[in-house]
Amino acid sequence: MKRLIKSGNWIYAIAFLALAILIIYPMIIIVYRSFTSENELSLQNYITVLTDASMYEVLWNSLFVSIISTIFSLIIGVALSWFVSRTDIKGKRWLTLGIMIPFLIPSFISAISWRQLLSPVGYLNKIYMELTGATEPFVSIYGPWGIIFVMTVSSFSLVFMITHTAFQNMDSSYEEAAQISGASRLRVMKDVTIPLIKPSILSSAVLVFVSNISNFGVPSILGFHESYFVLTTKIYQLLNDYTIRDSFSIAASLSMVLVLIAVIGIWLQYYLTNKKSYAVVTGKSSQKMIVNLGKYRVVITTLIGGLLFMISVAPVLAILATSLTKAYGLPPTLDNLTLENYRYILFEMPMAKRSLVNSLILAFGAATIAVGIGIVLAYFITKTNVKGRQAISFIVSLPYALPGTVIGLAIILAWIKPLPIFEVSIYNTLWIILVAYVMYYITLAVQTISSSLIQVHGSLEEAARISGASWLQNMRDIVLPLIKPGVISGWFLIFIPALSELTISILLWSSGNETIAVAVYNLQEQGNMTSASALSMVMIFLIIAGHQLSNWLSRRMNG
Amino acid sequence: MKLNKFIIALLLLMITILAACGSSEDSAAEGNEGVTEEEKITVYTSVPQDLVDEFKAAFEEAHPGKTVDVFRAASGELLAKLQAEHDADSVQADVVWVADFQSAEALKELGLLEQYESTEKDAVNSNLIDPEGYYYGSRIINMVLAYNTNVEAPASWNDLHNPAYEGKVGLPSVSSGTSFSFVGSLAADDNFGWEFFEKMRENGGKQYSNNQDVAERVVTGELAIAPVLDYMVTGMKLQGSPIDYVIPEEGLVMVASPIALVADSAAPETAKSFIDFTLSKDGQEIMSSQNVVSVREDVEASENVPSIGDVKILETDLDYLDAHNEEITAKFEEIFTN
Amino acid sequence: MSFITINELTKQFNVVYAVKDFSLKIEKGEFISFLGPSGCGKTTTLRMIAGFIEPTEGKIQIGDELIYGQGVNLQPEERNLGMVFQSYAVWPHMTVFENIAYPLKIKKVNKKKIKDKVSQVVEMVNLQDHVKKYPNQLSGGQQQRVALARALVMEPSLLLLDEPLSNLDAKLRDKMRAEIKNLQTRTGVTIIYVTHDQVEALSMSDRIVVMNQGVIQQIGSPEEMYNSPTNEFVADFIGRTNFLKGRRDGSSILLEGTSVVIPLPASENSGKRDVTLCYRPESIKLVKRHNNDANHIQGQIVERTYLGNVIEYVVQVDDVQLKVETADKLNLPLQTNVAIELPEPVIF
Repeated sequence: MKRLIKSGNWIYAIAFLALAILIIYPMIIIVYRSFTSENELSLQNYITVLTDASMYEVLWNSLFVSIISTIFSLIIGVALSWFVSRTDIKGKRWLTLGIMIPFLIPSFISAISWRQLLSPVGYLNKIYMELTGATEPFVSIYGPWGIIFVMTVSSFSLVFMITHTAFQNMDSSYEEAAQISGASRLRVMKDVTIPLIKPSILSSAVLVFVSNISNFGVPSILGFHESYFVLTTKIYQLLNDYTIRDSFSIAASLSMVLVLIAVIGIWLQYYLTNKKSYAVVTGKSSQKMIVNLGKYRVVITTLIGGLLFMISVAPVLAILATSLTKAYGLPPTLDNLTLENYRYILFEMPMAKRSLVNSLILAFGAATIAVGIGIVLAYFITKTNVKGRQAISFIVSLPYALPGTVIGLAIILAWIKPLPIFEVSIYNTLWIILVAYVMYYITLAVQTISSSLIQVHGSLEEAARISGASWLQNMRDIVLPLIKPGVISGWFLIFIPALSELTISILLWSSGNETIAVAVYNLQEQGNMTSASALSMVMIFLIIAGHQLSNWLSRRMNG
Repeated sequence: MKLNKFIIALLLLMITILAACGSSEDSAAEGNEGVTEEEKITVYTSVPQDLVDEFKAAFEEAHPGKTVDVFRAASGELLAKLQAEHDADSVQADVVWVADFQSAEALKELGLLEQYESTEKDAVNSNLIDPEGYYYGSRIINMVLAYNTNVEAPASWNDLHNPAYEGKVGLPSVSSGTSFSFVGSLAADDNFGWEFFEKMRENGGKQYSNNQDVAERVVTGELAIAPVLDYMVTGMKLQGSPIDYVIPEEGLVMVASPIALVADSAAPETAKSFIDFTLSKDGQEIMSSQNVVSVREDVEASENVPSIGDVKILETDLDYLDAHNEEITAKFEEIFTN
Repeated sequence: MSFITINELTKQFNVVYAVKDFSLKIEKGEFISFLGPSGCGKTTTLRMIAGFIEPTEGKIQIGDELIYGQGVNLQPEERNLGMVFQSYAVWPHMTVFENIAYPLKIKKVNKKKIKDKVSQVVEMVNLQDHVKKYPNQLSGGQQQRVALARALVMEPSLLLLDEPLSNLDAKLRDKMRAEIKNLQTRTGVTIIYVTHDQVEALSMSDRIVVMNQGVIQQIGSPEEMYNSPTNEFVADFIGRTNFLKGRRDGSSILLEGTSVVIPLPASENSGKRDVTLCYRPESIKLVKRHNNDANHIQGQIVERTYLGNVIEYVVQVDDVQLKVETADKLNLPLQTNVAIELPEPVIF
């Protein structure tokens, strides 16, 4: 018994149990339902889905918007992280904040605010028509390119974060060697720098691709009335269509297409990164090569700063303008300004305050639980040599590829019955939303922590063991302090989107257990766009404040 | 060690915020305690939150000791959730209150509803009651023609074909039950037919995800005119948004939102009394005060809505809609997604 | 009984033997090196002793305690060993003091005693001025000393060193070699030292274990290893050697590619077979004039490398080339005709 406790096997046991109950069990329900028609096992759903010609168009649309937006995000994200980590560009801290803001704004809010700016009657188009006298709008946010635009804006920060770390850990001597060999700066970038951080680029690419292909808010807000459907909006439509019996089963089988695409993406990443071994990131601190931008320094700083200002501040201003007007649709002139909407949500709408507290509890709880389980699973994946351990990182990434609505329904089916032993159901409590968030977001924890763990050289742990430390003491004294940055970034990577999660919560909330996004959505559904915008502003403020707080804390911690 | 400090700092922040909001938390929790199952009901609804909140408050005041929990969502999500609960044999709702008869029919077919003879049955317009007694129309909402007040007001449904509004017309998708009734009624009408929608499409007509989406776009001016539910227009208009509606000369399409008792409710008596209260004179007066048309003739209409007796109504053949359910959806999709 | 007994230790990965039937007895206070090319199984053996790799078969006993075998498998932390790693493995988030104190902290030694102990070993490795620093403020050599101090602080009965000097530059390596040897003399700790560098093994060890492809090739003192290798591999791996092919016929050998015949001592048994002869370059004598001795062979200098204290020549003898090392006093230009004198060969 003592041996069992010391060896840490019981921690594995708890993590695997959590994995089975929280992730595998609801996943099995979805897979099972996709093979059930009229309560019998059959392939009927797949036949229905695969023989419908319009599904292929939807599939193509999904791939098109997610692949193109992933490519754009990669180009922008990598370029920005190179500028920030490897050049003498000015105001790096402000630039980083500008890069982070678009990521911190929930994508459905981002889509709504870009619509307010760039719809045919959006603010920017109106200004353009006003200035030029044109009768046609300059550009419309609707359709595939608008979807790609908003998806890119929401996800390039993710690429930046992941590749920025890689740039910082990379030994400059590789680049210097190429430069000595006579390669120009651009050639060095192309031939040495990019290939060396390829693993980070690939992992961020897969993350962005999977989250974009499973995104529902953006294509539904910007694509629906153009009849531009993607898999997630199609699945939603199926679920909402009461003329179809067994719509959940058909939706589940269509969701399997999403899962399959995600699996291919993850496998591709795994295959491409594992072909060669990259022993480049040593953790040895070395001098970084900083490119002198010279006479272009000011120009480039201004250009990048200006663009970032546009895409991070403009949408916030649009929401702010709406939140301050007396009624939706009125021009934002002085006469129409009011703080009434803020007064309403803060003092007259108990649900708003309640939902803020609920979302904070949920985001905090989900991030903490997911990181807790994630540390153990990531350790198991990276530090043991058990056969098939990679399957775990595969399994935990599957829910992330599913549309929130499907997760929500699977969670209902999985958790509505009273728990054995306790005889209580978590349905209609806050905890069912927590369970769903953990299932959905855990892959983010497993991935970021895994990549931190890979960088912890095995001998550091062996030195601890030989010094007499048990498995647990080694974890506590050596491993956890060393992977702390990865743990914190994983935690925030979950905390921030969970704070504004909508599509899962919308099916699982109950009276008294609303989330912020549900409150925003309900306000909007009632036609109270101005109050919805005010609440959105409060949410954005909370998220940005939380992010700044985390930055401040981690800076203080690192001395 | 430092990691702990970090987590502690965050926890402290959380607790501070929780404490700040603590008062509202506590009262909400207390309200639910000491309430036996039979005295607490859950209402699943797609009617606006404001409206259902008024009913909850009034009912709880009239029936001390009884509590109403509300889950509100759009029709689609509501039905998906109910279906999932039904699949798991654990339906949580005691009362469902949806926007249109088609949704109620779908629930009835699933076997989710239970017949109930309301004490207010006789006072309610008999056209609005399910002949089998499964559900009762509890409020009347109308599909009318909304317009942005910065453009010229339309007069007829056929204005949706008017080149003056080209590219600025739209309607809610038929996945919304009220829109389904509207589309089905016009498609079955000899004066309109599917040709009406084809022409609308030619005039740049588009489908939007729901009524609210359409109303919002009329407000911003992205749409000039569009069929949409009257109470939404009234609500936004009263807030000051540049939107209004007309009742087209051909008549409006009337939709009644049904309320029904859920089969095997854990608190059937309270559920029944909530339904009765909704249909009662007191309840219907709340409707009227919220600018919604009442289902009772003995309730006076609000000044913001036209009295039902005065306006022309396009006939809706519910049996036809039911029988041609899939056909209507398919035809609509065909026109508006090409 | 020996202090450490390793019995038929075997590690099999699928069908491949990483280590096969490794048996060794080590006396208390001995300095043993495991020497061999990379992949020979020396590190695997060391890690099995440490407890990081579970053997497929075998037995390991330290002192009276069985640490592996017969159903026993102590965890690394239960074996009471010290270990120094190739990559130092100094924890970057702890100061020098914290690093060294860690093993004592785990054992719940009281603070005062920890302080005394640490300052004792810190002095031993000469790091008095650096105790408050973090590893990234130290040089490679200093980091390795931290690792050494950390391994010694528990006063382990056995210290395992896994190529500890391979990341250091040549000068520092020489210095650390002396320091490690010195530490061992002072503390009397038993050491197992894994290396691929024969100079390290020869200069520090009491005994050397040469391994290749998972199998022990020879166990012996440095002198035995150098002068009497038991097979071609050991001869090749330790020091530099001329390998010459030959054909044995009774009491003489005909060197292949030459007309040279080498007589054998009478005691060698006769019989016809192919043999390999080994000559250390420094054991071959180079003379200017031809002397008609049977052991004097004609040749010509074809390559010449000046190495400071010695000069290395390559001498062409018929179709064969021989490396010869001489003191620098005999300085001969290229193309010089020379005679060489072969010592008694080691024959396989």
